[in-house]
Amino acid sequence: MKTRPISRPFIFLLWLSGFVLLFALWNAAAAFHWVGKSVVASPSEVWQQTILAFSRDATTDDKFHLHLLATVKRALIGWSLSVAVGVAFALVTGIGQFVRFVSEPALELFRAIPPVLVFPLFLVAYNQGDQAYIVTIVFGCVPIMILTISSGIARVNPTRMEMLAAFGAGPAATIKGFVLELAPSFVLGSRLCFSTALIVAIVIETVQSPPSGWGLGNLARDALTDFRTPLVYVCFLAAGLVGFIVNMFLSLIENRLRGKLA
Amino acid sequence: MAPLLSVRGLQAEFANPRKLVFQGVSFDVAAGEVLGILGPNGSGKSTLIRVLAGLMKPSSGLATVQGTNIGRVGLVPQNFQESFFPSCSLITNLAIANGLTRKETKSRAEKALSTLRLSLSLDVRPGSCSGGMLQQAAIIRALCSSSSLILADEPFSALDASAVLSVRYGIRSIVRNEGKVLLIVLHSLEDAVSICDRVLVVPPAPYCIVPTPGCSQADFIENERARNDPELEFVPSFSELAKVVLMEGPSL
Repeated sequence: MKTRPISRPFIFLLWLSGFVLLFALWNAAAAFHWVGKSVVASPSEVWQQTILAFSRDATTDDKFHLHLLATVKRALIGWSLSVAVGVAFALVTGIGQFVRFVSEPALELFRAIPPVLVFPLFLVAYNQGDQAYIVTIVFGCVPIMILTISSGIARVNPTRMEMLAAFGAGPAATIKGFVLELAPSFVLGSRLCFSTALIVAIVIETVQSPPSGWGLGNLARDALTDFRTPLVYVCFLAAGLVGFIVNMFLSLIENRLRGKLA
Repeated sequence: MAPLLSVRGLQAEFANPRKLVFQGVSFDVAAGEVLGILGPNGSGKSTLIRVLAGLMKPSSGLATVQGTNIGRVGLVPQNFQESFFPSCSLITNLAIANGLTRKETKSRAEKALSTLRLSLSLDVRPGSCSGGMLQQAAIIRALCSSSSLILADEPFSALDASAVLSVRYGIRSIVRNEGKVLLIVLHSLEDAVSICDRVLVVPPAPYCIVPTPGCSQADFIENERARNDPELEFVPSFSELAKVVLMEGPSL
């Protein structure tokens, strides 16, 4: 089938229309009570709640930015550790065939275990401290990072690496070539990893409130218990927005990395 | 004069399944000389290039450049399209492979492009280039190398007729003027006659080196016509055909 090329402004218009359509559907669902009022909050209610959540005279429960920052901090720490551990482990398993075969079954097994299931164990191990949250996030993210980087290593183009070897390229050029080959898998793994880190952080916060009491997950859970549906929606939107911003940031790093290497 | 490239008793075999590719290959090539490698499909021409490029270990034998083991080479690979990093421009690809700065690479590349009479923009990424343009870039990359040994595996396969003519002339001139050695795998006997000083014919065995200078273009065309004439019984094997076309020479 022939596809006509679409201009950039038209693509932007299509994206915008998608948002408008979603907004219209959301408005209609709230206005005509398609679903129960405790399930769907109207956009205007959510907007008012957002202003209230970020206002200076908000009550302790509604200090939304502290909840948000606590969750983002947990996700970021867990994500950074996962990336570091994942890359190091993937390089060892990707380059050394023997280690790969030994670790593969265990890795596949761990990948299938939902982090929320092992969270209670970590809570006990770390005496319900904040470390339990970080370790659970790492548990959920490391296999993703290892698998994406390992598959990136497996897909490194042998012709290009052979080319460097034949031309007698030094270690710096060889590493540069290797990084160029791995950059897409690294960025893909990092993006998937951050989404997972944020999801795991919020889910485990809903299971057990962190010792500090700050966290987007427990805020959303408490809000739902109190039928404060608009606040739950603010939590949804905030989580989505954080994921979106981090994704954009990682894309920027990817482009800068490629630009620097090029 | 001492040869620049010396190959003695080279043997290569694939490990799994075990298969002997070639054995007892020996030849010398002097500086400024172009040695063609001709042979039917599967005769081990590309494997010989890979062994000389250090990409495959020979099971026995030795190849040296000026008495020392071969280090870096300028290589035009058979699968040249895959040999470029897609996220970098062609000039960056050339710089990475040769371990040079962009400025130095640009100066060397412009000189080579002018000798080969090619007008190729090196500031574009491989994705926006045709197969022919990428093959030209692969040739320029090899010519930018500081190595005195250039290995080219079917370097004209994607070039148009006019580019083949200018590249043949240009490469030969660079190899002669800079005292390099060019080993070139070819399928076209016409290319072999035009560019090579001698040709290594790689049939299953024995290997023979055929000198080309005595062979004129007219001889080549005459032999081609004879080969294609249905009234004449002229169905030689590849090595026989090569020897007839290139003029029979001493076998090694």
